Amino acid sequence: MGVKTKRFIMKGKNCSCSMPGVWRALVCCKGAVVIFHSPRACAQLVRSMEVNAQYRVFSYGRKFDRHYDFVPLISTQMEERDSIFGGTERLLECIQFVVDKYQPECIAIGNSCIAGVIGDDVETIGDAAARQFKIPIITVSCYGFLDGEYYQGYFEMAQKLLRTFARPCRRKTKTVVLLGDNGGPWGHYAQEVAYLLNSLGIKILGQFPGYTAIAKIKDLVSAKAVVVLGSAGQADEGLLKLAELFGQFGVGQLPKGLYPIGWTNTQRWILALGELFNCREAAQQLVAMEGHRLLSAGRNFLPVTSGKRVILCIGRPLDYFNPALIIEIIKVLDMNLIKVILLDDYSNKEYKLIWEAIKHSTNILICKSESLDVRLDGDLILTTHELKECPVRQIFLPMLTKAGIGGMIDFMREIYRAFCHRGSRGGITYVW
Amino acid sequence: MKKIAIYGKGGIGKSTTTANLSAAFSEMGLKVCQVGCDPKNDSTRLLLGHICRKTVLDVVRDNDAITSEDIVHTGYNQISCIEAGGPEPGVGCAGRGIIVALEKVRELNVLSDMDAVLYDVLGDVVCGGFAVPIREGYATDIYIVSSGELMSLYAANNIAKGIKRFALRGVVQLGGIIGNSRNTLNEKKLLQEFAARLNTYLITFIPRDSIVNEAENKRQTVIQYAADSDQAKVYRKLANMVLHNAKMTVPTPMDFEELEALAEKYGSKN
Ligand SMILES: Nc1ncnc2c1ncn2[C@@H]1O[C@H](COP(=O)(O)OP(=O)(O)OP(=O)(O)O)[C@@H](O)[C@H]1O
Ligand code: SF4
Ligand SMILES: [Mg+2]
Repeated sequence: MGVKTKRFIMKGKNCSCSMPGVWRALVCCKGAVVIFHSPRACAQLVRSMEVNAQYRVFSYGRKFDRHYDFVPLISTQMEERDSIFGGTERLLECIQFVVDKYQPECIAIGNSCIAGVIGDDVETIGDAAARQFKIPIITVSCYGFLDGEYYQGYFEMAQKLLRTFARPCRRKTKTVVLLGDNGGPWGHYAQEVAYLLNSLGIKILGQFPGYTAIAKIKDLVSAKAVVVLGSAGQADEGLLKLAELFGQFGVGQLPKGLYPIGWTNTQRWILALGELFNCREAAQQLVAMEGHRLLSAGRNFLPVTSGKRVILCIGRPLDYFNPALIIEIIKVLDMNLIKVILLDDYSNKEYKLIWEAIKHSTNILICKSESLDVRLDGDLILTTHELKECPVRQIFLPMLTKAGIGGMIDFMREIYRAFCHRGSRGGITYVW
Repeated sequence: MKKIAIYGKGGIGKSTTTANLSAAFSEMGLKVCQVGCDPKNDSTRLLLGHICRKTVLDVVRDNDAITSEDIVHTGYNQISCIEAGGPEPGVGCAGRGIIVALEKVRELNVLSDMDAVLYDVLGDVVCGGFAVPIREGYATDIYIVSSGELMSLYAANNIAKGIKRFALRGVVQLGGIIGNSRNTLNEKKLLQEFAARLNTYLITFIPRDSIVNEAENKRQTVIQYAADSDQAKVYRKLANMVLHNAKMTVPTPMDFEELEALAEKYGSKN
């Protein structure tokens, strides 16, 4: 019969817009203003990202902290005439407006496709305006989706921010900077990491990029180490480069690619912190505590989950989704993983990578969704893409990574709840 | 209404030829409009006696409401002159400018009572904007100006490729090659064979004559400046041929090697 997904699965290269990335790199950096040199409509995307971010904070059950206000986003509102005669005059007027209205400590400019197509020289205008108004104006080299995508805008802006504002300074012991976003300081990842660091007496100087006030960016490089909020693939590459840039200021880091995701890696991660901060004993104690936390949470769910038959459906490349965490959770809940189905046609390279990653964690059968004999049976399906005509209850795996034992427990609770629902046929649960 | 577009390599003589053609049409009693589709704004200079002072895009840039009086200027012998205009060199997007300008012209309905409209399009058709006069059906009869120089033929051949694409879709057809002499070897014969290979014909061979430059210095067409000259007669003949042209075709462009061989065949002394 084969397995069909409800939505088209995006394949190959990321093809997003670089401007929201620019915005995200300064999203709550007090003192900054972001300008989109774009038609008005291009700013709409960020508007909905902003609303989503707020809802997500509420869904985590947290409140916004006043010093994390979103920075103003101003669009130059390019029109037809600017696309013909060039939009640089308008950009200059917009910068003047922003300076008068907000007296910012820094202006960041994202470029739209149209500015790229007509060849507006945004960098030169930015430099000239920076001299005129005597404030840093940071521009990026990518235009809309033309020669970059979300992460290009995000990381280029992050690197430039650090280069512009960081100053060599004395190191503060037992301090770190969180690198990356993953839902911001309210997000599950940052919260879980903060809890673990806190347990070891390590202080967080800030989260970068996006969540450190412009005036405080200079102090970030006094941290002993950066802690990368990584998970997999594309974002990680940029984060690791950013970590290297911190390294140029003498800031250290944990072993590359080691993140507190899943139980095995969380243990290794805590022990690595113990090494780096010279608190091995405390780290070992924390590992024991977390192990206990995991098992006692798991025990509560076992009466319902034990022996249940589960299928894992994955439609994202390894760059965007690491199966190890889910497979570990299945084991802790004593469930029976009956097969893994890889959705849609991965490229050969992607297929090989995800296949190897799965094989690394389990010996179970891996099949392709298009094979006709693939059946959707068992008690529960954990899936990255909603499945069509699926007779079994599905749990939709989240985009944002859930870190630490807290992340695992949240997940286990969702699975437990799915089994507790009345009736066992169909339906989908979303995990936030 | 005759809807004509003149294409050809940069500097080959499109504007000069188009202005003389417009002048000749107007002498025949036709109501004529010449539309310059080039940010240089110089297409209608010989008809207006000066560079056009207000282009469509100049007006678009400053006002939201535009009237036909703002953009239509009257030149020699009551010929209506419109310049699309465009950005300064090196900024903005001239192609987009042409699209917007022509849309405005259409919107204001200034061409509906004309007997002949001539679009003089910038030499190097660099983007889709400059194909708009033929793509959107503004013009139906296309003429390519070329000399016997290889690069002029090369440009003409490329333009023929564009015309072919649009011709296959609908109303646009190639009316012929207008030879504008650069006094190269065997130029007329070469142009005749070139045209034949493109499945069209050499509609007129305009000699190179200093009277054209004299007239240009006086900001006039040859028709106005030296009405009885042989050169003026050539332009009148061309006007007549264009008006009654029955040989409209879909071009068959060549590949570059073929073109090179052709130029070599006629271009060597032996
Ligand atoms: N038959 C001719 N005899 C002598 N000079 C000519 C002839 N035709 C054109 N010229 C001259 O060649 C020059 C270029 O002509 P024109 O401006 O008409 O070219 P064009 O194709 O419109 O150029 P562009 O692509 O830049 O718009 C002018 O100085 C013009 O006087
Ligand atoms: S991709 Fe281009 S058009 Fe779309 S929002 Fe970004 S800049 Fe605007
Ligand atoms: Mg011209």
